[in-house]
Amino acid sequence: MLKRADGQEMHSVPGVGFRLTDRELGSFNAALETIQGDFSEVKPIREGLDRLEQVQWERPPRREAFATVTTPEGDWKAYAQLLAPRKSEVLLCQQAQGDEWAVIQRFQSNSPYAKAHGETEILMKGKDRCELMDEYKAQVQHTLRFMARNMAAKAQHAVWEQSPGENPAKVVRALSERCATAVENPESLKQTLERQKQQSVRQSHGMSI
Amino acid sequence: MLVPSDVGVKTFRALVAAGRPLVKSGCGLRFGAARPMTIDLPCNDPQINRRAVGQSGFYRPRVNGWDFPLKKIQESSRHRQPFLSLPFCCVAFDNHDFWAIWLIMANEQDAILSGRLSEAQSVSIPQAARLLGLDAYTLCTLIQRERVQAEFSPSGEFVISKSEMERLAGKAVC
Repeated sequence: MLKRADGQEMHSVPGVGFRLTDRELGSFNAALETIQGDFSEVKPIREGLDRLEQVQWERPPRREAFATVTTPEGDWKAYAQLLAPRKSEVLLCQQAQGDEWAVIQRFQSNSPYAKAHGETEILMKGKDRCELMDEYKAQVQHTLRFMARNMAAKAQHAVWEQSPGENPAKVVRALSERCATAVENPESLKQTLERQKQQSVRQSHGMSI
Repeated sequence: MLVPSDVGVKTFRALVAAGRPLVKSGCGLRFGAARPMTIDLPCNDPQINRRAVGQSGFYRPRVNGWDFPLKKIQESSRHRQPFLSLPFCCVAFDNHDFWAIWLIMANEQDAILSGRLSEAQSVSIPQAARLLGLDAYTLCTLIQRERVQAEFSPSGEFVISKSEMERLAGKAVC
């Protein structure tokens, strides 16, 4: 067990690159509790994206179309389910009368959003299936980062609530790292942390405006 | 002009058009990477001033349905005038986002001082998703494609306004 000079025990935390004291760990865990639901939402999307990364999209689809999706721009044949968020699904489709490919999101038909805006929405389309998939994967990753930031903001708010008058900077930083870890694949996370480390050295003197 | 990286230019412009003040040089705001920030603004609220006289204290109102992280009343030794100090955390955000948060907080601060605030008008992303029959991930994709307009709350969390929710569901849902 690592101890500080003042005798306080320091705890390592999964997904965080530094250690926390007992008190900091308590705040960290309490704040993390407030975003457990968000974590459970992010996890299957992250796993789905990892699966998409493994697929060789230049190869033609192995199986026949399994569904027909109707959009305001006509009918599309669905060849693969790309992601399955809890209340919608994202499909890779090809035009029924043409050769264009599209990523189409299908909402639950009874949802208020689908009733007002339609059950399907074309997210992106193009002639080249590989380019389309590259762009879609980048978009999913971008959305996951967006969610991580929102989770971090929510958790940090909880920290401020719990420790008024204190300066929980280290706990806040730990929460940010933990949220970022949840949505990144290990390789790009390593690169990001390295970049942040370099930035923090450059900006350590702060800025005034 | 700096824009928050995840909000989208359209949303940012809407914030500015809605009267969000722009940052001016020399306003005394100091920030650096990975540390909590503090903004000092002159405080003209008589109720706060009364509490602040001769002491330091804490004031944590709910504004527009949002809890501000913390407001510490301090007396400026130089000006002998109560100040509201607004510490908040910017660790999770890059400098672009950080600016957007500051803009909103400064705007809400103006609103506190002049008493122009209305009742809670916004819902969080998980709440909004539930009301619309979506999941949070799908709602976030809609925000990023600017199908849904979201705004920052002072804590840095995204929220959806009641009017936007009504537009999205085609009826009153909140």
